[in-house]
Amino acid sequence: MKRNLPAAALLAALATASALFAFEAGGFAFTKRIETKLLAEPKALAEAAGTLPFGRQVKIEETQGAWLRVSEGDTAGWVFKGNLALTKPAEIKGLDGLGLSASQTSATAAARGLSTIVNEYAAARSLASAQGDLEWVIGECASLTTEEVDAYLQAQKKGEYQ
Amino acid sequence: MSPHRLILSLAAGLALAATASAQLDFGKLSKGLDKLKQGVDTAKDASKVAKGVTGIGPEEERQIGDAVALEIIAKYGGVVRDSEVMHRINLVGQALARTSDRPDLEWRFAVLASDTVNAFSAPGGYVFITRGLYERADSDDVLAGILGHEIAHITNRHALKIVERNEAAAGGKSLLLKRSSEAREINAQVQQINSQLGVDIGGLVKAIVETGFDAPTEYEADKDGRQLAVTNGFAPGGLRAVLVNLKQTGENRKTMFSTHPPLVVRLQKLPDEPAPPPAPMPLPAKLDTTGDAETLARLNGQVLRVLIPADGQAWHKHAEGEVLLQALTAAVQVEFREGAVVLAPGEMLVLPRNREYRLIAPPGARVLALAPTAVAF
Repeated sequence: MKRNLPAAALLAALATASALFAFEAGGFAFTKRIETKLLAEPKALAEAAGTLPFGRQVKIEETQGAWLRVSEGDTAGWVFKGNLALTKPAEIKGLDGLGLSASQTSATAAARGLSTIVNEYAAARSLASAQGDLEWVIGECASLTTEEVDAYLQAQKKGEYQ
Repeated sequence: MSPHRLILSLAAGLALAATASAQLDFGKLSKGLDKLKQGVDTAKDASKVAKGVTGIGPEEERQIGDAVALEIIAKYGGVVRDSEVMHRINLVGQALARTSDRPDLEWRFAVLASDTVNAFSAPGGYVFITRGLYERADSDDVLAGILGHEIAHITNRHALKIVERNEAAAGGKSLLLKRSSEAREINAQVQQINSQLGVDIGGLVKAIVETGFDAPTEYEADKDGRQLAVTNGFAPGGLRAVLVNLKQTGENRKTMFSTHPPLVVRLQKLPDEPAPPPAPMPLPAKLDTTGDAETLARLNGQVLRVLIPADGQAWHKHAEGEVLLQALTAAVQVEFREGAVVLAPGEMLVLPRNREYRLIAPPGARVLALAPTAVAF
């Protein structure tokens, strides 16, 4: 048995590696956004069949092109593979005590400006011009809507519209 | 081997692998802790240790990212303030980022006003590419290849890992600061802010922009970035195409991705896939001289305008330069103190600088004028 170990370890490593590279029927995947919608059909704009929270493991029942049919308990439906992760996403908490979901909620509630400490940093380093540029970038980015990105993906047949 | 035994030995192998990697991590960790504890003030070191072990949280990441972004913008000539460019780069960037492993970050993409060829990412979701590199992205497929690589640096927390692992920055100093003052050759205010953030921002920027990530980290970003583009239906050869382009045009480590490992090795590690076709260039639109627009085009520091001469125009002159005039729809009289020139439709003349004149034309007549931007009519 001892002599078999290295080979077995290699096999196991291989199995793990291949599992990390592809979504396959019978395998597992994880939700990675605060809310992941499962759809009734494998196409964008299909009706919602359920919703899953962040970090749930789902079973892959079936694959069809860029779409996966997944289930978790009583919830099942189709999801674009780009909306799932192969490995469990880490919920990182820092010294600020904020977890991902908590901080995201406050972040998406309003387009934020630069925080006081960053403004102080800019002043101390005499980066007024760069600060103006960064604020312009933040403003431009905030003006781009989800609908515009959707329209782009739809027109280019990319993402869940491929 | 029976299926049962195979499963057993697989499990044993997995356990072994897990132990080995755990040991490795502990080794690293205790080494890191020892290093951290070399400081005298253990109480103040506690927060530093905590950050190294538990990681940097979202709010801190945002602040660090903002500060790093400021430094990168300042270092590379500012941001190209062109809304069309911003729109394109953010459409492609968001398309990728929303299916990345950190879809809910505040992703922001921008072009730096520098003709060097490079791209950078900062924690919190900032991706910057220089104008020099942006201009080589002749299709969204290639742009997606570049952005995917930078997105991967952020989703894999590569810059933050440098801080968390407490890797010595260039100059051998720790990036991770005690939350008190640590003597450094920077002004007191910056030093104080760095202490508040818990990170030496200048050192981190140096690590990102000058020292760069190590080679395996870059290969990982190439691989993950390519996969992100492919998942979203962009041509798989986008990143490869830009690397080939840079190699062919003689770009080397000094100018392009200067902090990256050699192009030859990066290309070897990417699958051999064809370059995506360049996006078709839109045909230039025709200029409408009959519409309401006064300014038709700006070119070479000049403005092309349609003038509708006012009735009873006063004598005037232009000190800023010569003006080309062309009668469009009806004959127009260009009157000088010395006499008049009549332009039939289609005919033109060059109005000398500082020469007094006035236009006399029937109502509704149009005149095309090409003049330096500073000339007012």
